[in-house]
Amino acid sequence: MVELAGTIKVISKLLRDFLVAEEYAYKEGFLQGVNQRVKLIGIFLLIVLAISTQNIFFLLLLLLFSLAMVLLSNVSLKMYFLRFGFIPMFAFVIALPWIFLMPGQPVFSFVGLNVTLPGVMYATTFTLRVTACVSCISLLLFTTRVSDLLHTLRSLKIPGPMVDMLVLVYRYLFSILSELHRMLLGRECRVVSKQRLRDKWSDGGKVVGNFLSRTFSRGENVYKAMRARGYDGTFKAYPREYKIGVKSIVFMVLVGAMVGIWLVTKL
Amino acid sequence: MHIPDGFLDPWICAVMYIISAAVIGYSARKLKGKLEGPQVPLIGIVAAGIFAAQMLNWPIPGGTSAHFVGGAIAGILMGPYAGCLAMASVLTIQCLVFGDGGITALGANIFNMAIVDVFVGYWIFKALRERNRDVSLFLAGWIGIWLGAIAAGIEIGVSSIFAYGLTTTVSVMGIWHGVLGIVEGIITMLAVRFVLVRRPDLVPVQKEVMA
Repeated sequence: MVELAGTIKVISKLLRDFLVAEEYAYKEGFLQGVNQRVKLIGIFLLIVLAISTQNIFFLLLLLLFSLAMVLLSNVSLKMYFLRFGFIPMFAFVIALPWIFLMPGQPVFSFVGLNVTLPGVMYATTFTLRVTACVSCISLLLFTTRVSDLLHTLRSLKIPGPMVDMLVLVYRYLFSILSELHRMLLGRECRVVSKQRLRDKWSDGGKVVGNFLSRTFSRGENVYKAMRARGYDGTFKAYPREYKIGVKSIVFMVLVGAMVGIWLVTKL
Repeated sequence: MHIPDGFLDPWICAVMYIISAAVIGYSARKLKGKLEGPQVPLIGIVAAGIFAAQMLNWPIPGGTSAHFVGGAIAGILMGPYAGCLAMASVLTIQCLVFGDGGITALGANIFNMAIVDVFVGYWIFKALRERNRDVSLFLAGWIGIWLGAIAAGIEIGVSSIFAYGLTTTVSVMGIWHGVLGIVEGIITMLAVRFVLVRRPDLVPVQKEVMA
């Protein structure tokens, strides 16, 4: 059988992260009040700026910008760092060897290895860039309701069937996770002997196969239920009006200012 | 295997977005007619199932555990076009809702895990299933994810913002996922074999044989 405790831990973390993010998305705050389309495009643009620069000053500024947005949007800094802190750490570990490997002027020696200035600059820039990017995408995740995000994709002319599939994945993911959890618990309760690794895998394969068969059946049933309720191949979403208010205009001005600074650093 | 933002050059992100959008568009076109029928709910819900199954922790020797991606499983069970759309949906939700993988790297992630993994897995199974079903399933899972990882290695390696060269990134990704891919291969073999025995009507390639 698959490792039950580890699997439940992973599922719990996924649900916890999601619920925490959704909780903040429903709070009152600066980014929560920004038009969803403006926010999605603005954050995408900021990340593109981050991956298009080598300028440490700009990356630091972008990081400070995103942290200011976190505070203005009433998102807990602790939750913010807890959720995404590992990606910058991972980036730092990847970039670290370059402080020795990159040729250039030595800054100091460490256990017989020279730490070079270009190496330190590269490791800092790389880690800062990844941190700034993660920080920006986190703004989106912590301040946007998923239903609004999916609606925004529809308004950005992403093909309807593709958005419909995303809606269904999101809509059914939690009930399907719950079903998987029940299947694993049931299986665990029925297994009394200590299993060898080979048996665990063989059992696990059957569980996944059974689970996928059930998922197919569920897909067929959901289709029939949707047909019975009038589904004709297209989802009818209620039109939503997202007005461009003061917060949206301020956000656009701030993103515009970041683009301006980015252009200046490129001169 | 999800590439975060900040690892790829902007031009690579743009190219991978274009390629992935083209393949997704082609897949949707191949399913034309079906996408207005039962396919959208089926793809959406099976995609949610694959997402959920990715959470499973598989014990491996040494006391640690591994997860699987499921691209080859999606390709074999749903056909390559529907499988591609299902995996692309999973990766998009993972990126936009759960923060797995970068938004600028989404095109690359879709290419690696929803295109290479799915299509290669499907083609290997289709080509070898007559000779040995279990071996074909294992190779579909293993080589699918391995080539997907090598594609990720190439994308990262040619990026100028990532200092490691192409040789290093491809070697690291290739060796690491060549080993981890064995897990993917075994899970693909065990899970799809179960479905082929119990519900052969679900598998498109099997339907061709049965017809």
